Amino acid sequence: MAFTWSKTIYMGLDPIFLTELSISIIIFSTIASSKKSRVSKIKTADNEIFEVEEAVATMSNTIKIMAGDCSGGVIPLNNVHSTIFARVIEWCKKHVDDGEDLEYYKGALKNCDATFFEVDQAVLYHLLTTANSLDIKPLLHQGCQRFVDMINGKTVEEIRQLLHIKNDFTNEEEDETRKKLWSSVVGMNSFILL
Amino acid sequence: MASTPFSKLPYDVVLNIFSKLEDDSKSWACLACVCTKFSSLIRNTCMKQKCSKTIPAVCADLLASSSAPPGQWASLYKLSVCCPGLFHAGVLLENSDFGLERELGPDENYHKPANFQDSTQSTEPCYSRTEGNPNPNQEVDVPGSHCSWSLFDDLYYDTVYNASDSIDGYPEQIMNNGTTKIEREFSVCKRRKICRPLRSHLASGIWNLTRERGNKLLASRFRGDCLYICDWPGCVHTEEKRNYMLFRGIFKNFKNSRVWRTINDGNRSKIDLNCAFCSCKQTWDLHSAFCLKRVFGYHDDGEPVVRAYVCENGHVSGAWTDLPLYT
Repeated sequence: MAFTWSKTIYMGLDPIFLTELSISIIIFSTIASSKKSRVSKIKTADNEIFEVEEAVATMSNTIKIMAGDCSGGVIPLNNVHSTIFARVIEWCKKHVDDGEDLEYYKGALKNCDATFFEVDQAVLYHLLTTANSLDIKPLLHQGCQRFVDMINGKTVEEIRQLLHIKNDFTNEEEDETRKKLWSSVVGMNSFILL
Repeated sequence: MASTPFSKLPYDVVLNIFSKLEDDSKSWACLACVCTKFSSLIRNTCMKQKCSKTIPAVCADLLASSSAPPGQWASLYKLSVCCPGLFHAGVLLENSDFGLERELGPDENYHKPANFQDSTQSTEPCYSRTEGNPNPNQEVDVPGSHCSWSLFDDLYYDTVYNASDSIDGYPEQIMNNGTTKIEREFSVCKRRKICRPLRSHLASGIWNLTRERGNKLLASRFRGDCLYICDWPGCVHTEEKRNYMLFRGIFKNFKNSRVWRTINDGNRSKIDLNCAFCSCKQTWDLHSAFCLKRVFGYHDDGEPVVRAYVCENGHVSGAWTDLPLYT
């Protein structure tokens, strides 16, 4: 108790009433402070500080764990650049109330998400890598789904061109065997699909 | 793999992407052809996981004796999803002309089907193999086929694919080669073009493999051997004479099986029919090695009710022509 019994008696106030009042004040202020969202401070690799609502930031399991270690201080993300982090946070704000259940995210990307992922490949790679390192499973799931949509239905050569991958099968015979084995899986119009 | 943005993606992210395509065999087949890294990932990890999910009992049995199934996971995966096709099930072999040779005499132009496996780098379609053959009668259409694609064409076009070549143009090119169509009923010349429906393809029907089915195929003295076969009726191919219910399967620990000992001790010769599921170029005929139940018998035209071929790795391809007698 911040005050002594003697003071309250002197002031003529009923000490019991004051005790109850102070308890009520403590309770209300606790409730009030929890309603005001806590903000996490996150510093990206390029030293930019983001102030993000805790509920949004802790969609990342990595940040959640680091927040516990930092106890209110600035959380450093040494591998994430601010531009990508800003995008990630933008996604998290949209989905903060959607929960972590991947069942919710199954299926084709919905409109707003589809737009979100219409980005350069380089940005998509960074999003995927960041979602992986920050352990944001739904974001990773959607990013991978976007990737799947990009490569689905493409021929082998088209996939190579899209992803800038060189054909490094050096052994011609191995190449033939591989094609012999797989052309039957790919199907009748394999010259299109391959 | 050279340093590309994709190569910087963590391994488990790439695996995550590929796993989302696990129900799409064609996509996996394409990805496995892109580069060595993808090939390794698809064949050794993705396919292994898929097989463990879809045929867990088979995987457990196969792994009991070695760290990977014979022919590796890619072969097992392909066996789980692909029908061997009439060709690899041996339906197109010499004995499929039952009675015809007796009527018409030996076929001088007969070439074993294995020749069609040669993937030469000729710029001509498969008719280039007919050079030097005095007989101009080349069969163009295979009875019962519905397309004019061959495996060679796939390989050729994959190598030199030119976007300006149209699909429609190609069949005309074949027809202009001056080849002659022969009536479908008599395949006098065995040099037929192997078309897509006759080769291995994605199977229709249920893709489960059971040991019980294998036991019903083998002669009773082989009941100790463990052979997994896909469920009846397998992939059904409707042909002119009769229907073929194609099946595929795999022996557990083939080299320790009694079937293997029988084939080996009997010094059975292999035939030039390559396995649909691995790189084995030759297989053994289980029917002529008396490994199948004798009760199945033959049709009136001499065709066996069931035939089956096994490769060194224990992969089995075969065809029923009728309901098994036990059903």
